[in-house]
Amino acid sequence: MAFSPVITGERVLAGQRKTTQKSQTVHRPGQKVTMEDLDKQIMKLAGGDMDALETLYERTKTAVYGFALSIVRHPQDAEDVMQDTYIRVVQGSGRYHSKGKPMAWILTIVRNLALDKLRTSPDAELPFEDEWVSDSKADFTEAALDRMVLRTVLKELTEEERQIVILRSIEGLKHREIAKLLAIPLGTALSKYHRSLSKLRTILEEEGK
Amino acid sequence: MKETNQMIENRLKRAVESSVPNVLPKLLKQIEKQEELKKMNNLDEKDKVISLETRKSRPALRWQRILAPVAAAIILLLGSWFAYAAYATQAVIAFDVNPSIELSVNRNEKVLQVDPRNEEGKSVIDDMNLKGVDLDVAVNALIGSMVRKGYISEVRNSILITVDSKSAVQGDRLQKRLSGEVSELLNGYALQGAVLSQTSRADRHFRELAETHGISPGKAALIERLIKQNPAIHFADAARLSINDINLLISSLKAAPEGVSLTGMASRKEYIGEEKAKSIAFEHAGVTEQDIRQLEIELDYDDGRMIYEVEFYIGQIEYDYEIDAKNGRILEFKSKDKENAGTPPAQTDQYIGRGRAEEIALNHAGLSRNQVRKLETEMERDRNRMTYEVEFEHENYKYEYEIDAESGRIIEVEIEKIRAGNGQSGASPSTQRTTQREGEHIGATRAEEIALNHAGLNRNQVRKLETEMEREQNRLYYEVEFEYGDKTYEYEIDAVTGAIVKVEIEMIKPKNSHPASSSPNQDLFIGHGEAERIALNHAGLTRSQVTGFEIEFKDKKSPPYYEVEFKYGGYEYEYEIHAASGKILEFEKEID
Repeated sequence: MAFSPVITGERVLAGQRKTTQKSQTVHRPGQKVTMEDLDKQIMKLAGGDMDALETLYERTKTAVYGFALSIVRHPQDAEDVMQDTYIRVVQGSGRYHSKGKPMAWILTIVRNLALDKLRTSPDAELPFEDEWVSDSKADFTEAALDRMVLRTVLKELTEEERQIVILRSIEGLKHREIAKLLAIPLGTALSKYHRSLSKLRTILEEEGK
Repeated sequence: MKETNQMIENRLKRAVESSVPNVLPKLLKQIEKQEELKKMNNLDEKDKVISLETRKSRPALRWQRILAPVAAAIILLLGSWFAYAAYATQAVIAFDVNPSIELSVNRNEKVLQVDPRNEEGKSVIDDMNLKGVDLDVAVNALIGSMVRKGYISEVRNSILITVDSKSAVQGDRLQKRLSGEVSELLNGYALQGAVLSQTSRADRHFRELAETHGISPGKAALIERLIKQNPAIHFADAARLSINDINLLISSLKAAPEGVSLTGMASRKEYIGEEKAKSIAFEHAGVTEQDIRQLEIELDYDDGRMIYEVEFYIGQIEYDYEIDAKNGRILEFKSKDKENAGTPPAQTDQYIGRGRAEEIALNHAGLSRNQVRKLETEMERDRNRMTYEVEFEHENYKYEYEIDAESGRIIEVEIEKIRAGNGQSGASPSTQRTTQREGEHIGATRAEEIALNHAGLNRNQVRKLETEMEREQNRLYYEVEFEYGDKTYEYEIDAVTGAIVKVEIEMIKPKNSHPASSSPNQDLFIGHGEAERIALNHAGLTRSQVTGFEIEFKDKKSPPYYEVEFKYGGYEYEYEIHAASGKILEFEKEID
């Protein structure tokens, strides 16, 4: 039979068949609703309504700060980037053209500014320091454990890995969206994400012992 | 600490959430200050228009500061410095159109070196020897050659000049002078040239950027300045645009990026034009100018190409087109019902994207991108849902996939042997035998075996197996049809050779018999019957084997899903099936 690619019934149904142990959550609670809202805030901002900035800021600050931090790693630098980002958002709001992707727009700004910062900041070459996270191993409160995860991410992952993991955790971006934002192939984004998390798990298990 | 991925992600999120600084007060103050400044500056706005930058990039400044004393020391040490001046490079001037050429000149503006930076650059220089000639003469020769060879034309009239001079003052002067000279030269060729010019140090940063993206350091510097002004631009995307495209982009931004000066207008002749873009969109939507309102057309770029964005409303429905500015192809089409904004079926975010659709299809065919020919993907509207139609060829088969644009589910597969066009390669054995006798046929049973074997199924697994012999243009073949799971399979098998001529796999259309189909969203969901099939299929059971069968549609929690429950062999099965895609979200099998 001169038919090279073998297509089996099994594979046709692969989408449904490949399952799923108990309680695998496929769906991430969407930001869809807030996206439209963000669009609206940016439009208002373009019209000079500064109250919209406050709303926008509250909705996006965690993602903006987190993403900046994932690139520059130093809290002070991340804060600078954060501030510059919102300035740019205000300045650029007039030019903003809704494609239903306000978050991608904002995050692209964060990324460009953060990479710029990284290039020009005298601290950029310094090794990562725990300037702000308490490192007391005896502290087993939940908050301390949370901070330990963040510290591990900043300390142990590469620049690209940090961006992927943070975007995924904080903003719940889809891998496809992350890939587009970082201008890397989808496959790379996926494999780096999985590699990073298994790396983190290993390190955290070690530390937790 | 045993942590799952989800736990790690949650921890990370909480940690960042609790450490976000509050920059809002500072931010508001800064914006206020800027507003005031703007008001004051409005007075000398004129000066700002042609703001020739005297190098603002911080790294360069820093290096200058560090190197300045060193340079001074060197000058003192080498008393005979002036003797070297004739051989030392004072400035490098780069010309970018698509050909990219760098000229190094000494203090007296004699050309020391000519560096073509790409293949087109080489062809512009050809056998010209510009070494030792005056800069002006060399520029004249280069521009002349670019025009003659068609690199600069009415259609592409933009050129970028980047001056990298050791002396800032001389650099600025050179920039202004060359910009004027080149404009005049182009006028002499009866071309309305558009000249972009800038000064920039081709330092390591720009050299590296240029290397990575296969462009010149000058173009890299231009794009960085563009990004400074509009941070939403992607470097990699912009790098793929021509200087003319970038120039157009700049003109759509109203103001030139800092440090870049412009003369002339970028040509739009390479593009189909707004009128044409409009009529393409109208034709596609089946409307005329009278039917619509709030029309907006804008030249923009996406994924490294220039596009027209055409938007308009018909009633409450917003239409949104992205049309390739060069060839008029519709790249993307969205329509959105404003009234139903709560259930947005037409947001691009919800589509898996062309690339992903291709991946799904190729993956299914077991092929990679570079193995196939004529890969083509289009977005289409099929009744109420958007689908990607992915087509490609491999060896002598043509593949056609229809993929749900939202869920990525394969709706239809068609694999067909490419018919021998003009008797070239394809004089297959079957077509040569003009007299076919019954005894030579493989027989219906064998044909069924071939089809089932290809599908990886056996006779007992499938439903409605039917085989017929058909004739088409002197060719006899068996048509084998059967159903498995939620799909129908259709094979055409050459009656003589047993070769598979065509395969078609199609989703069985969900029957709209269900009473709940009054809701407009119902079409988006797979339906009870389909959910039942998926669950039973997964369990490897049939409806008659199981007891206590129950199915329920639940949309209280997002996403809506079907809950399917049944019992078999002392076990209770419970499924949650994604109502839109049919994906199994959760599966439990417990001892009853």
